[in-house]
Amino acid sequence: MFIQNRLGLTESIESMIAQERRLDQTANNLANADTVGYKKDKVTFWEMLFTASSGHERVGKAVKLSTDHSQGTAEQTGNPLDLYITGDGYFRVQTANGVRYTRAGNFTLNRDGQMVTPDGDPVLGQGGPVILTGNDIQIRRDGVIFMDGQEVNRLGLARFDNPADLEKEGRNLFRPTADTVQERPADQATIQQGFRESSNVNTVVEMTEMIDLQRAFETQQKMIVTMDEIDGQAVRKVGSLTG
Amino acid sequence: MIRSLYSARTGMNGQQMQLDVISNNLANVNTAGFKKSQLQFEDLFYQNIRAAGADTVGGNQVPTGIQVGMGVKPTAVSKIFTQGDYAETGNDLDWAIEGRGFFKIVRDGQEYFTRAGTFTRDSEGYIVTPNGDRVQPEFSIPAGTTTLNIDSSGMLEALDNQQNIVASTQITLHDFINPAGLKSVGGNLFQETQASGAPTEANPGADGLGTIAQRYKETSNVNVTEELVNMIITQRAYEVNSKAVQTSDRLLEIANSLMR
Repeated sequence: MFIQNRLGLTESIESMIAQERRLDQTANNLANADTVGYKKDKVTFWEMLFTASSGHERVGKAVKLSTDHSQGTAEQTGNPLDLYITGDGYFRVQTANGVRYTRAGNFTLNRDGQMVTPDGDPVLGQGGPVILTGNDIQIRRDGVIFMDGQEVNRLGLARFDNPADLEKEGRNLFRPTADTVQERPADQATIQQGFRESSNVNTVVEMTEMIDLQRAFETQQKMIVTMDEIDGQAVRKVGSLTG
Repeated sequence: MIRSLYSARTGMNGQQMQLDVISNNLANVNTAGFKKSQLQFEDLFYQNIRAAGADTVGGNQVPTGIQVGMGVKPTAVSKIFTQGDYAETGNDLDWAIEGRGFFKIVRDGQEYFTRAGTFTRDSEGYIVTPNGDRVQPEFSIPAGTTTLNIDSSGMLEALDNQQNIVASTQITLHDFINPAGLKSVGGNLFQETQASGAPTEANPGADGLGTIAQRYKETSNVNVTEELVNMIITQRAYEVNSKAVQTSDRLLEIANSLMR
């Protein structure tokens, strides 16, 4: 009985920590409710067998984090360097740490006329970095770039067989989780010029999530208090002759 | 726990800065040649957290390498150089640029660039901005001039009452590869930076530059409806982030009440 009590305590504490994780994610999602190309993170729980003591097992909760890569809505800006991807695909960006992937198409030009992210990392086309030195920039749905009517480059979009192959790096960038992950050309994805993808965070969902996790946290706290009371009773009453 | 508090704080700070940008855009809705700004956000770095590394019964490690984001960061306030509308003024010294390009002016030996072509003349007859800085190339309107004409390609002519040309000059425009990289210095002026690249000079209408429309001024490109919608979004985003702070606080409170 005593051992099970302790086990309950462990599980309640684990559950409270798990709810904290959920809040961390929710707060981060809400902070990025306005970030171009942001993809929300979800915390899910799953049951696992843990070793409780030697020869004994117990079922516990494990935290699993996944990124929801669903499409964000298109926000019209009219800026010729704001690009929106419809479908499964990512822009390829050359950073100091290697090629990274992003859905945030809020690009700009640097002094050399290179198309870059707001952090200054060049966007890669099929013919290398995209250089735009004319006046009129037209980007077709299939990613072909026309500069003053002349075809100059084509944006190289990448896609991945499993979205879980990508992890977030910050600065709106994704990186492959392992060296073995292979990118594939995104043939199905199309590009809309003059639009950009808004964050796919839904504030209503996040708010209900916060209410839910707060209550779950509260419940586990009550469980701990109750178990503490039971322990207290045991300490006081066991061995007492008066009962 | 503490992480969520800080993430929400970055969210609130970011929205506050967004509001600063929107307010400035709205304040300049009637400023000639004003170009609106836009704040860009990106997600902050991610912290890799190893979950309580328990072994599974099968002897495997719990596969729960999880990442928690640390909030949001404003990356850039970029100027949006879309064309503003034109307003007819009838003033000889109001020149709007139709297309790309900037006028160059000099103040205290420093070069500045502007699209606000609402000029005036100083006591010596020079064409100056409303702040008194001379437009380049400097041109003094001779005494006795009755009409001042500038054509779309920037040829400026001063005519007397007999319609004779008494003085003329070629007004040039300047362009940058990346105008969004220019530094705003106030007074409708921009300054060259590393990011904007060096200016290239050409006559209006040449090399992809815009042409000049005399007796018109370019109005601000701020769209009031758009800014107001952004303001509502900003306010609500600020609000939800404050709720995340509240929830973090509440969780801390509950945890603290564990100990009676």
